[in-house]
Amino acid sequence: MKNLANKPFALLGVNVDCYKVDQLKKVVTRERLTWRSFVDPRGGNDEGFPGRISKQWNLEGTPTLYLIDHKGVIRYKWLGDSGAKVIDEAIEKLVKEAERDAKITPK
Amino acid sequence: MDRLGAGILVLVLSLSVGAAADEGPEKPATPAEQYQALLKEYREAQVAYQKARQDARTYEEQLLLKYPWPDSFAPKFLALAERHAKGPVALDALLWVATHLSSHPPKGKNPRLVKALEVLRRDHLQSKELSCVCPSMSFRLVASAETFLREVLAKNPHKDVQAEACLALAQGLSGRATMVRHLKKNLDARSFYADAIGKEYVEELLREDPAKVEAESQQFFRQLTDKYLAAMRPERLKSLCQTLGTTNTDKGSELVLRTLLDKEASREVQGLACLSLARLLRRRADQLSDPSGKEAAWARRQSEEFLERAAEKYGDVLGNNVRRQLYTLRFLAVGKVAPDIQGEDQDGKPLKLSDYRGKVVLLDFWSQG
Repeated sequence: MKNLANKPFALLGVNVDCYKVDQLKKVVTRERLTWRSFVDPRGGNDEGFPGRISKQWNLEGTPTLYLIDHKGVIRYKWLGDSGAKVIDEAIEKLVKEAERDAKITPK
Repeated sequence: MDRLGAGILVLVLSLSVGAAADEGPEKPATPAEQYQALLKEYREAQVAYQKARQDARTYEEQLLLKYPWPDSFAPKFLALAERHAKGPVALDALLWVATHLSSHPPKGKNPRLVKALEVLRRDHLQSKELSCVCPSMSFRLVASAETFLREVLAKNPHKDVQAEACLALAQGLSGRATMVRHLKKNLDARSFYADAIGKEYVEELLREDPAKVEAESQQFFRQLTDKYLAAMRPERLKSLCQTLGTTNTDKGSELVLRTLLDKEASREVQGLACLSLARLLRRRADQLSDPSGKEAAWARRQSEEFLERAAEKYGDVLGNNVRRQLYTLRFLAVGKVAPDIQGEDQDGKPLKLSDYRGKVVLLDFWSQG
């Protein structure tokens, strides 16, 4: 992921280990992650991942990546290792779309 | 100070064990006891590693920890098998090595795995116990495992063992085809996997023709369907449905699931096969190079039909599972507006997915695991 600093793009994490805020902070600092991640508090009950967000998104495994466009639509979904190149290309494509639309309707 | 304390404690313990052993008359451990002792040693090393990892304060500290790979325990199991080659413990020890080194395959050609598989082929090719070792080999079908499975399929007299060997070959080859395609497309994946599984193995894979590998995988899936599926136990079929529904996207797996849905007697298996078909087709749609294209749309429509059918006809045996899958398909599929997430981040600050509207968002579900 190169040159996305001034582009309409954001990387957001969801940590699914059900850590509390301070535990997650510790891990994020240790792994030197520069982006924001949701904490995923326990959502109780049955099978699957125990967190509330993971439940809502029916998480099947990690890593799972969703690429969402500037209108909020899910455009790609990757389960497992999918290769940086594939992901970079998809991001580039959607960023271009976002920039094009921003030109048409300037805010 | 903690570490010093622990060091002294270990020393004291080992002294007292030594003293106890000196007192009584020496009674050598039986082969079975030695095998149990090895299992315990491995288990304890795993537990100790997990604990040390959790206690680590920095990433560097974590990096210093050595993971107790099964490979480092393999020589002891192999030696035990060799000392008691005629006894029943030899088979257990060899199966341990074969199973653990196949499911956590070490880098490159592993002489311990090769050795274990060779001895199994030489001394235990007729054994009924071989069915339990086959599934672990499908994870990454290395050359020695492939040779082993082909021979077991051809020469082991037990139908359930043949079935597992056939299935492992089908799944292993299907996984290999996916891997070959992935490596051919992604240059950066090559160096990553060269580090993880060995440069030679990556080069071997790059020489393969993925279409050919997949065709052979399909052949084994067909053989499984024609010859073995009807005799497999419902419990095994259920776990097979789960696996195929969670990981596979290929035509061979689709054939197995369609056959189970149409011909299997147990309604529970039928229901799971139906649900797994829906999941397999949805994943296929998402993984196509153009996930918004025609082929993807077809697969997604089929997937939705199988889900409806699962919910309508098998709701009683599937329950919650189907409702969750239906939700995934309707609200979390490519083309749908992402549901909002409201929560907090690692600093305890409020964080909302919908605040990022206007930007492209890569949402990464990660765990430390």
